Amino acid sequence: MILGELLNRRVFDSNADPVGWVIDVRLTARAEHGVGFVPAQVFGLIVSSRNRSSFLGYERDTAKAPWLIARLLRPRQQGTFLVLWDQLDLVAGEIHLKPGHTRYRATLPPDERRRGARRS
Amino acid sequence: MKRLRRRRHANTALPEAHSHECLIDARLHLLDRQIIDCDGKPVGVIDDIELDYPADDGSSADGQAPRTAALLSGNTLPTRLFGGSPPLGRLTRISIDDIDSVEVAARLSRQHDELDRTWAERWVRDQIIRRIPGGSHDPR
Repeated sequence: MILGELLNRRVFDSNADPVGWVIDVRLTARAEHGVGFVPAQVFGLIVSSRNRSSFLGYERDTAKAPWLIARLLRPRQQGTFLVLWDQLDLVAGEIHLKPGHTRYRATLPPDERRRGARRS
Repeated sequence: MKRLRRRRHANTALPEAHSHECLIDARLHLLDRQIIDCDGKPVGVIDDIELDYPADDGSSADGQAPRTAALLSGNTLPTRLFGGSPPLGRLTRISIDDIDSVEVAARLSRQHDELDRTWAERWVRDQIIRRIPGGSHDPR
């Protein structure tokens, strides 16, 4: 499986009703050296009910600036949520959410390990 | 009213158990980043990521999440312009074990010349450039 096969896929709930599209894949990463990271495993999928792709990532970050752009883009991204991998099923190439799944906030908290640092 | 309820439903925060994990979003933090070797020479760009998913080979996945197996890099310009996805054969694999760390760029722990990704460049260097008078040494 490659990542491109998951992106932009339609997501259905347990009743086979469409919920939205996969706009990104959240991964766990190893950050052993304290600088940078190495991607490790799929953690969950970011699902948007309105868009097939993300624009500037305002729904996932705590960034609120520039104010005007955030104000314009945020309403387009309402309803975006994170669903963990163990709460979904891949059935015949389709992504179905399990009954009773939890929709987590798609926000990605700031993390210095992700940002990296300049090497001396 | 229904819409408000849906928004409140989506606002559940992640459990405390995941708060120490380093989480990244593939599209935001990996795709299209430059790949450089251990000496800082450019190798390519991350075009896709290969995931190692047990169910792909017929075995039961049992809720096991796919692991990242490799970075894929290659010529994806035509499919970006005209749509579709490039055949896997046109993408070169760089094993996840060869990645030192990803910061602004993905830094590898191997040298440029050791990678399959750069065979065309090596071939042009060895078969064409080296035969040109003065082409076998650094410019002075």
